[in-house]
Amino acid sequence: MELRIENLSKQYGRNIWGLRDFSLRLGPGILGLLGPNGAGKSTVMRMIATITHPTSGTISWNGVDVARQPDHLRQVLGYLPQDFGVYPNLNVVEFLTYLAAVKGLVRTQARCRIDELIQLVNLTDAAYRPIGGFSGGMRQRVGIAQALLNDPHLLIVDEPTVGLDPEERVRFRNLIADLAGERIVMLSTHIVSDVEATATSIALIADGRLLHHALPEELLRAVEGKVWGWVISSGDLTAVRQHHLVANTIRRADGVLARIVSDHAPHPDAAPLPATLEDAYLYFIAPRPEAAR
Amino acid sequence: MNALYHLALADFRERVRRFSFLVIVALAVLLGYQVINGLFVLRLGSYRGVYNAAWIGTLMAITLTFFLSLIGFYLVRGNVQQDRQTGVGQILAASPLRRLAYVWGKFASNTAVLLVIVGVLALAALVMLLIHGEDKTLNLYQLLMPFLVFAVPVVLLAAATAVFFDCSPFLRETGGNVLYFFLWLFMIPAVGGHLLAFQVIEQEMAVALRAQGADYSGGIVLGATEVVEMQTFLWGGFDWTAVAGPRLIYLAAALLLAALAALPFDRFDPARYRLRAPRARRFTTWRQWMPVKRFSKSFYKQATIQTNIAHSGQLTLVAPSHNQISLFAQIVAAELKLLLKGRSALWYAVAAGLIVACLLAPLETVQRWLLPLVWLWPLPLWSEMGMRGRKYGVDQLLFSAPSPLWRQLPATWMAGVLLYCIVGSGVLLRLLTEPALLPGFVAGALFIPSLALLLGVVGGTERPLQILLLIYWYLGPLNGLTAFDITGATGDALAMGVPWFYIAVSLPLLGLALLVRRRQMEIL
Repeated sequence: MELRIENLSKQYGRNIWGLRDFSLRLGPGILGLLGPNGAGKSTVMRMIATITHPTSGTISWNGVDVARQPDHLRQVLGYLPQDFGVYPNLNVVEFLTYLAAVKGLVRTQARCRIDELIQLVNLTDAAYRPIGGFSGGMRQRVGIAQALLNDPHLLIVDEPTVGLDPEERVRFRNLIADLAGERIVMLSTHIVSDVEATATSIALIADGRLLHHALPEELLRAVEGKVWGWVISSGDLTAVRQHHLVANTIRRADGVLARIVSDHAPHPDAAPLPATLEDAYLYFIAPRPEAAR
Repeated sequence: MNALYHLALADFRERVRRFSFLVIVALAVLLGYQVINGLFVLRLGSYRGVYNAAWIGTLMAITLTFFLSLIGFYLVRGNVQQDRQTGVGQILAASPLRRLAYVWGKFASNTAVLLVIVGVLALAALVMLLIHGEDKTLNLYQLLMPFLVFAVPVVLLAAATAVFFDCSPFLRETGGNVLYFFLWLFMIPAVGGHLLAFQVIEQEMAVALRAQGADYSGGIVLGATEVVEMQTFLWGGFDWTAVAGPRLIYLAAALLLAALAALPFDRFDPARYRLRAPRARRFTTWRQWMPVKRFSKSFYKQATIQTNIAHSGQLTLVAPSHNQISLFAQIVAAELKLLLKGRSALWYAVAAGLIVACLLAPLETVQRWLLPLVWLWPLPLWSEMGMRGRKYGVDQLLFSAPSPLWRQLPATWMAGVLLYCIVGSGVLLRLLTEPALLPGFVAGALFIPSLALLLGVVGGTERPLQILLLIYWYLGPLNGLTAFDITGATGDALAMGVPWFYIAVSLPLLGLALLVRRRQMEIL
């Protein structure tokens, strides 16, 4: 099982590139696609999901060119777009039954799976209510269920936790971790904690380009010694933010503990801290004030 | 006032940047071209005016006025609904924007869109004068005033009516589109003389005509060129100070109508919208409390073994079906369900009434009057074909499924054919004993879903089909114009084999819909 992406580009206007020379090779596991808004995450996912045609480059699934034979991938593809709609007058069972037919599944098997998926995404009580009246989080869960209908070998989920409450978010993360094994899961998000626990590899993407594709440990190693804790007075915080990349702050009795991502110690009083993936993300993606100067 | 201006401006900008606006402008250019080429002629008896600035301006403006009185409404309709669907409405509702400012903003934006069309036709009038003018004197005042005095009031009324319908809960969808068509149909003979300015044009021109010693006994015609030996007379134009005054009443009426739209406007409150949801939805809600199975039998069987599906590993394995016929039948059934789901009890009652009436009424009545109703009644269902995915934002889910082109679109078409056969089952049973009439039924069954699918795929909105089918119904079965008589309601159409023509073009229309969808998928 292999998904290979080579020099993939998507041009929207004369000088507008959604994606440029994006190359990646994936085997079974969970890929966390991390990047800021507008980085090109959805573009690359739509292209892999055979929705959008690349301007150049190739995508192949188990050696077969997806552009030439899209159905080869579609048979085993589960896709949850970032923005998707539902037929408001159908209930969950009817909507999933419709999509199971569209995906070409054996009816009797699909029926069992639909019932189980409804329970898996915690929609049992709402199974026979028209989806039109659902909250955003409930709709998102319908979306997750439809993506899993055909037991996909390649599961693409674009910003899947948007609109989910904390409990459902944890449930979803567990579900994704559970799904990993003999399949490829691509999960795009700009929320690092969504991939921190589950991703087997992480791709950082910004301005339509792939910056890094590495194991989480490798990313963490790359920022080792570059994360600092510095206790400052609350009055100095604004000035510190102007000069350093502050990942977060914690109020303390003796002031504010600023977590700073920087190649060098921001101050002799600053002490090194163990790095997290969020620090790595910020280190590679966010513009650092000290670099700008 | 500032809010109103910016609301109208943003709305106008959003609309003129859509592809559909280019189509509207292209159609306006086409209309202007047809007038320039003499397809539309204004004549009083066998007289027409010399083609000078006054005559050309009036001809072009009056042709446009006539079309805008019907089409203008449909062109600008739906922008309140757009705010509802995009969620922009709720943002606006949470702002201090007053209802009156909102509806007048929408009215202003509607008006601006239609004025672009007026502008295009005014330009066409200028071109016509310079190319085809028999007196090429460039009198801009007489050339352009007919647009301002005749066309603009109709633009204002169409724009205001569209806002009123968009804001009224029972008029904002297909029902409103149909109602406006009938309003137009029955109101134009009554008030059209004044509204479309035929009355004043005839009065003024008749005076000029008689003054030149013409033998004219009354009547004014605006229409396609006819082979009539035309005589010409010189007409120098209106005294606009006298003509313009009475037409200001339409400006007041339009402002009032747009203001009245604020009364039924629900300010995008979803709770109020849901309360007015069709009965079918309430029925579904009620059904969930009935002691019927909540899950399938298979689920219960499994549930006894495992009470809770907590891991994906517990899910039933599925495989793709290799029985293509069974698969296609499943999708057709699902598409048919989608078409029928969510309709009101009244819709089903009328459909059932039509079936029964077709079984009981004399065969001639069935063929002449009931069969056209059979294809007209499911109008809201036809008009969703081919564009439902886009309307509800489900396209991405459908396009990422296997064979999105060859499986889904033909299944939608087949569901449309089945729908026609179900609503027309009463007719079908009657016609089995009269095989000579069957081509009419078959023509409807094949042509209407094909046309619906093509227009839905191409247009992406429901209105083109709704307008076109109503026009077909009006011109064909109602007025006996054989070319428009799809199902052979009149003996002439049947004798001329008109239904066979519609049968013949059905599959090419379906093929075209497939080609367009394929192209749409390629450029995504």
